[in-house]
Amino acid sequence: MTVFAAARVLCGDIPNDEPAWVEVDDHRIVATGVGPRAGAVDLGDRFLAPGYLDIQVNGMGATDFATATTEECVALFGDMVRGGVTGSCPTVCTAPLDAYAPMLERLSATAVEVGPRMLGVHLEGPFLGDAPGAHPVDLIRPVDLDWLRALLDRFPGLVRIVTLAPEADPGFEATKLLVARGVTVALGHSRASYEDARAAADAGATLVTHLFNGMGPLHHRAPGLPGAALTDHRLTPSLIADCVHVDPAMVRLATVARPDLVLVTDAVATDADGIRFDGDAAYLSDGTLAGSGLTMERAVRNVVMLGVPVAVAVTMATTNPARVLGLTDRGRIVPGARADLITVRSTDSSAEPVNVAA
Amino acid sequence: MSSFTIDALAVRVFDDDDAMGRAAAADAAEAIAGAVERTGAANVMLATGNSQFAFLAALLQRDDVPWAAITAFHMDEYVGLGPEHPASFQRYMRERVAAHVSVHAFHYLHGDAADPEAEAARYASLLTAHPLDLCCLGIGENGHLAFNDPGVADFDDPLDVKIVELDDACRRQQVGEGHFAGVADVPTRAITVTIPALLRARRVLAIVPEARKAAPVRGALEGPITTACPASVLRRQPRATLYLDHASAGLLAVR
Repeated sequence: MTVFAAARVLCGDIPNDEPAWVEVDDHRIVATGVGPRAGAVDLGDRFLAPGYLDIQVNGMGATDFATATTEECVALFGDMVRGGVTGSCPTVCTAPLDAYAPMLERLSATAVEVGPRMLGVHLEGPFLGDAPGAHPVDLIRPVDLDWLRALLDRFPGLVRIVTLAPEADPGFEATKLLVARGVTVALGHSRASYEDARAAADAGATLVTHLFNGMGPLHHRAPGLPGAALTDHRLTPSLIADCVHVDPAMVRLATVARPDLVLVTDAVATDADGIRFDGDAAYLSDGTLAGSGLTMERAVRNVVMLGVPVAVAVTMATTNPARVLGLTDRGRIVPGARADLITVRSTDSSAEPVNVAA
Repeated sequence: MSSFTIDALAVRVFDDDDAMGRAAAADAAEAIAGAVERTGAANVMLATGNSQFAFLAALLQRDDVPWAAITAFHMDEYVGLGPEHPASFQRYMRERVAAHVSVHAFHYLHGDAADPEAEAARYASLLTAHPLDLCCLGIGENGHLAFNDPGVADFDDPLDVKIVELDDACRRQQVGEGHFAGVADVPTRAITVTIPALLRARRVLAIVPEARKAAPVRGALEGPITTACPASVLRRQPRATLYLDHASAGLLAVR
């Protein structure tokens, strides 16, 4: 048993405006409470939070999840923990259909190595629509149900999220198949109208991938996919809060309208072919945005600097992603949850792991 | 006015509904001011029902409530009712609170959500982001807190927000208060904040006027602490105060 005492405990079942403590064993949070606690490891003026969860990360540093070896993928999971991310969805972009099985073989082997820190694979494509962003246009295609069914059968439980466009899924057949298989359907890279997006939600879609990016604009007479993402509570938007993909004013709009949204990094490998970085944003040679160099701690810092209280900002990286994936064992500091704990500095939102469940 | 404690619970009995409402509003304002002083904001949960009219009116009349610092929640909603239905609790909150003051944000439960479990989870994550500084609740004619009726109440509920089946007594009460034409019109399910999530608030005010509440008040204060009368759990709450009027205290042995 170890007890950690901190200036605040966020995302817990106790008040978050006074010093508090968390007791853990190797795997689980055992108890929480406010006030001092004898024998505690004192974390000083830092805040305790659940480990961050990133449901959209393509890679980082030299590692691209789509091409990396299992060893490199496992090492990247270790790097993410050092940045406070204790669970993530490796994300692969549109590729030829026959390229998916080898990718998923490697990621399946990665899942065996890293255990519950792997939240499942996020397939972003290939069933996308008319807002491809950096996805290769010639590989985007309408739904192939037989291929999809075979892939899910071959890798049971591995695929956790599929981002698709309603216009690529006539009759929402893929959406219904995925939902029936327990896969979260995210709408994205789509010019879907507001009505189409609501119909996709009727069919079971529950996420909207990187709100404002890869979709039509938010227009006052044609609210489109962003309008549905902001106002239809069946849908939860994810957001790349690097303040380049989305203007700070629109980040503020999103956080005010949907404090239950999910922050994602959409991070990409820094040395991927044809990618150029400017600050936290990655670009193709023609200037198209192609993911980010964002980390979850900087995403949290950015929304805090835009006025979101730190306790709310942290839920956008913990409680909210856990909710959209239906994970009840993490994302909060409550007895019974996994003992994945990080500290967040009140001054600059920098994050460090404190305890990672065995 | 008389005051006493039963187990850990402070109880205050007033001559009438108005005096009770004013006293509870004063204590609510103090709890809100304390939270705003500590953190610059206050997270407040409010209850619906005819029993809350005097309290809400008194709270709205005060000139010392920093409404713009308040993030507000409500505690329950019928599954299947849209926000415009006359009996919707979201509508009650819009018309009786949000229309009169400018809160920082009022987070509503969406009773018409296609997937009520998902809506419950969404609301639970908002509550995780906003630990309650103040929870103002009532007690139902069947002893319930929010929609935690005797059959579904759990003092150690693992969920913070859940879907429940409403019991017959609860559904009859809704007809009696004039919200529905008949029992058959009352939805059979609701989304409710659970008992531990309600009582986790830094300050809990239980506001329970009217003669029709005399029996459940007696059960809560003089019976065993049991989920058969969910409100009995208030006796374990040192941070809670129970506000009664003469009528609702009418059956108590100690007054």
